[in-house]
Amino acid sequence: MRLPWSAQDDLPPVDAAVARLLAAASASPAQDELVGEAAACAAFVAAGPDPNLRSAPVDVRRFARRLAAVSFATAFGLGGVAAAYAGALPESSQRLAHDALGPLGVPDHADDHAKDQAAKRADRKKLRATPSPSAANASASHGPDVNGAAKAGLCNAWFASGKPKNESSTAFGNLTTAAGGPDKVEAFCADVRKDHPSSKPSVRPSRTAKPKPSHTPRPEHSAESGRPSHAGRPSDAGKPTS
Amino acid sequence: MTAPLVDPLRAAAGGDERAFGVLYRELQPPLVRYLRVVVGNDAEDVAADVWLEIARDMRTFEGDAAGFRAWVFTIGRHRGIDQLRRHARRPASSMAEVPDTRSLDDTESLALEAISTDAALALIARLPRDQAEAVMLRVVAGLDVADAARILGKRAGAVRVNTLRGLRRLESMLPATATRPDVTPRSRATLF
Repeated sequence: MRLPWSAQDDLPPVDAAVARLLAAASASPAQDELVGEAAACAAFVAAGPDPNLRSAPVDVRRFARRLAAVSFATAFGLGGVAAAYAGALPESSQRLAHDALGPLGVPDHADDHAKDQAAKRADRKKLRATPSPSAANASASHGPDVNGAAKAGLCNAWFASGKPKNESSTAFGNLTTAAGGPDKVEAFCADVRKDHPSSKPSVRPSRTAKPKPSHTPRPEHSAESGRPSHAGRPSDAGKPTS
Repeated sequence: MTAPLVDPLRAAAGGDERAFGVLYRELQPPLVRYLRVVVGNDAEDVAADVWLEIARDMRTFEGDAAGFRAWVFTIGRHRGIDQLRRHARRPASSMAEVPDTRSLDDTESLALEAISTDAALALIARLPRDQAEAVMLRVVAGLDVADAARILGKRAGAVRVNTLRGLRRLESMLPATATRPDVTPRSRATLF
């Protein structure tokens, strides 16, 4: 007697009685044995994404990069700079700025916000004449010197567009405030460009800033690489190598 | 009207809920029956936990039907043993100690009519633990010797021996009930 559930041919032969018993043990399911199906399927659905969105993980990663870039741009004031660019620059420079900043997903309706941000930055700039090492250190512990980078970009753009003295432009207004007057913009920007020689907006810390101590454990200190429980220990991290 | 699934296993691994339901309906009965023999009354709860784990990891499953079957029973045995440790209950006795009247009635029905699934499982549960598990995994769950051995943590030879001994013992258990005084010779004849 063939046993419905078993696909095995290497089971020992059994008499009819045992065969019937085994067949009963392997019989078609009773309804009460399947009552958990809905719960199991619900758990299955809850455990994973819609199969039609198989590409979702990739999209999430791309979105996360864009999000990081937008945050980056906002944190470093590039959003405001871009908006200022949009209002102030001649067509060619505007297109250049747009191309450079466009991939970052910078919003293009932030003019008022940009003005506020620019004003705040200008106020902070007024409080210190030059970036001092301590100030740079302070900003280094929180990130690169925002004002320096933003101002470099503006100055570069200003020089590139022929040093316009357009009083009504947001960008020029920002430079004017920072420089202390429209006639001082050129000198101010010349100084700024000395610290930031690159023609692109730089977000690297200014050269006067001390490097931030690393808090990530170096590979040679972790006893077993790849084990999360060891990777997080800061015991040897941050110590200067001799 | 829905089209039949060509490969429910692959479809389920791809997130197809309907395919997952097909797998459930195919594997749940042998799983819960195996757990009834091994764990006893908590079999349904343990089986539900097994399916939660399967549901969680289904999309990462790579293998064929035999591999999936082995996976289900690997988890089933682990959780069954965990359940036993929590409640310190001996497996074979939990079904064998079902009130006698019920089990006797069912074993009598062996002679007169088709044996029920519950009665069959009750008898298998009376086997020594190793034999009961071997019979359930090899016969009811349909696992091959290698997979059963891996799940049981035994050598293939030991699984074969336990399966054979279990079947022989079942054979000896059945005529014994038929020789009870109130069983007529006619019913005994129907056993063979």
